[in-house]
Amino acid sequence: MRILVLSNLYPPDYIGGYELCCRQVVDGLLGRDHDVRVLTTTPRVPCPAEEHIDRSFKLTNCYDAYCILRSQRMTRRMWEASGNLVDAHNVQILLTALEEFRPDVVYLWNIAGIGGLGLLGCLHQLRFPWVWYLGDCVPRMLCSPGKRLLPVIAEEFSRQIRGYYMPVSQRVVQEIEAAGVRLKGVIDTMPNWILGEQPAPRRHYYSKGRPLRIVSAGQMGRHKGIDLLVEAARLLKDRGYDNFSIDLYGKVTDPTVFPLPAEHGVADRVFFRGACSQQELVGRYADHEFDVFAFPTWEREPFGCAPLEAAAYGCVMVMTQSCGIGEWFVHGVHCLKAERSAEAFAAAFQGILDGRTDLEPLGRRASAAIWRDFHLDALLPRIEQALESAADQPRTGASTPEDTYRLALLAERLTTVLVQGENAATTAA
Amino acid sequence: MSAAPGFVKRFLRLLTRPLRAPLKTLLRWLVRQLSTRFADEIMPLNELAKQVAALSARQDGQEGFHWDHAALAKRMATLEDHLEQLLQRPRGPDEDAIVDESSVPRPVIRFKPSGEAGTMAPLAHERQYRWERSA
Repeated sequence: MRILVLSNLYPPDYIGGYELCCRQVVDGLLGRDHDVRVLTTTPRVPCPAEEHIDRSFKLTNCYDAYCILRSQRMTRRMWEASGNLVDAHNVQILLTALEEFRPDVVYLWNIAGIGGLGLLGCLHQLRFPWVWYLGDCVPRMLCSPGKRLLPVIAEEFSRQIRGYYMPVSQRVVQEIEAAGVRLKGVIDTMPNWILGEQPAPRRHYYSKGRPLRIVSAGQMGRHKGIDLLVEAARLLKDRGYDNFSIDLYGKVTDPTVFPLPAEHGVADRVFFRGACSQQELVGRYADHEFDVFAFPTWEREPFGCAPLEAAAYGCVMVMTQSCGIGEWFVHGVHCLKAERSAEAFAAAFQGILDGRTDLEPLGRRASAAIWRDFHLDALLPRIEQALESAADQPRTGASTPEDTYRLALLAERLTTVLVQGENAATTAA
Repeated sequence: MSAAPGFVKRFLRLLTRPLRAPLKTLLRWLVRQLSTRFADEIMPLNELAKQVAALSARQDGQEGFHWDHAALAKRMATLEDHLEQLLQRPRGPDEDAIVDESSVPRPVIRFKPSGEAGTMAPLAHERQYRWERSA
């Protein structure tokens, strides 16, 4: 099959799991003899040239917080409009790629920041089949430039756009639809995955009396619940538990969390270990350096790859009861789930420290299930099936590329006029 | 707008002086009345806030339970698929035959291929069983 992949970023230029997963799937599909081409943006870091990667898209300045916060309101609105709504330049690049590469199907990833609605509209005009991997609420984001949902756009999206969606959790679909954007077509929920060779089963799990080694990895911010973990550590210490440690790996994105361990008097129990590569972390899990992976993330977490990787090596997940990955694992069978509060997490850790919760069966079951059902090799046939099924759709009523580009130009100008008009009205008021 | 001349202000102050004491009393009374009334209303509001917090926690718990149930269903579906694959797998020609494992030193538990009642027996018992049958 000839597959054209669209992604706003592509490793080595990446922000998080969305782009890393994109690369892993592309490599997997190439390994299964598919003809894959990736269309992505001009990199923000030096990247070696690769034959199957075309970095011609233009990325709107939507991930540079420093510039965004210091820019004029009007500039910001224009960036939001071209990043989420239409960017005629990117539509033209897509049309050229479709013309030259002639794919059977287009595989969409994160298309925020590259005029995602325009690209989607282009595929819709040409009746080109697509499959969209939803690792986050991207359709909602596209319909909400400036974090305000535009009801007219949401309505038109719901009415016109139909395709094959692969969300990582039902929670993602619920969040998109709760905002007023309905997804029409096929919705095929598929989890994130792990890579690598299955190791020998873990032999030593936590036993009462030993120090409990807790780890968490990802962005170090309050939305990931780092403050709750520090507070949970304080609660444990107040209750007389001293034989535990919490190691936190990742970039501190919220500077207010950094002084928290000292403020709560748990600087000797909670340690910020800084950013760490995925390989190094996996190596630590494989060496069984930790007993528990704490994941007190916000409820709107679409999935969460970090706990999955840890659990593959027998490190038991303790997670927020309503986050995305919670839809795939059962409390008390593969993991522990808790209310998103310091008290609930402290209680979960206390249960382990007291020996009331045995980690071995949880870790063993989760590890077996992950290597069997959450490995990319097990999921790739399903992805291929989805792509094939989408590619089989009829293309009746397709418009011409010329008309599609004209529409994109018109939409881009209209957007500019509307943003300028709105800005003028605000200034006058 | 120009400010009122000083003598006008002084005159007005003089006029209102006798009214100040009764006005203060009236205001004190009003404040007391209002605070009593608000206290009556604030108390139920506090109660309602507590109830909302409890309901919210309960809702979160329900949601967590819902997602756990979804996880259970997904796991079950996956396991059923695996089971189906195992059942659909073509059986080998010798799969039903009794294999003599007398050379195997470890204690082996085998199923008798006949499918009769009491089908699980250690190898030694099985061998005895086969001898009995052949005799």
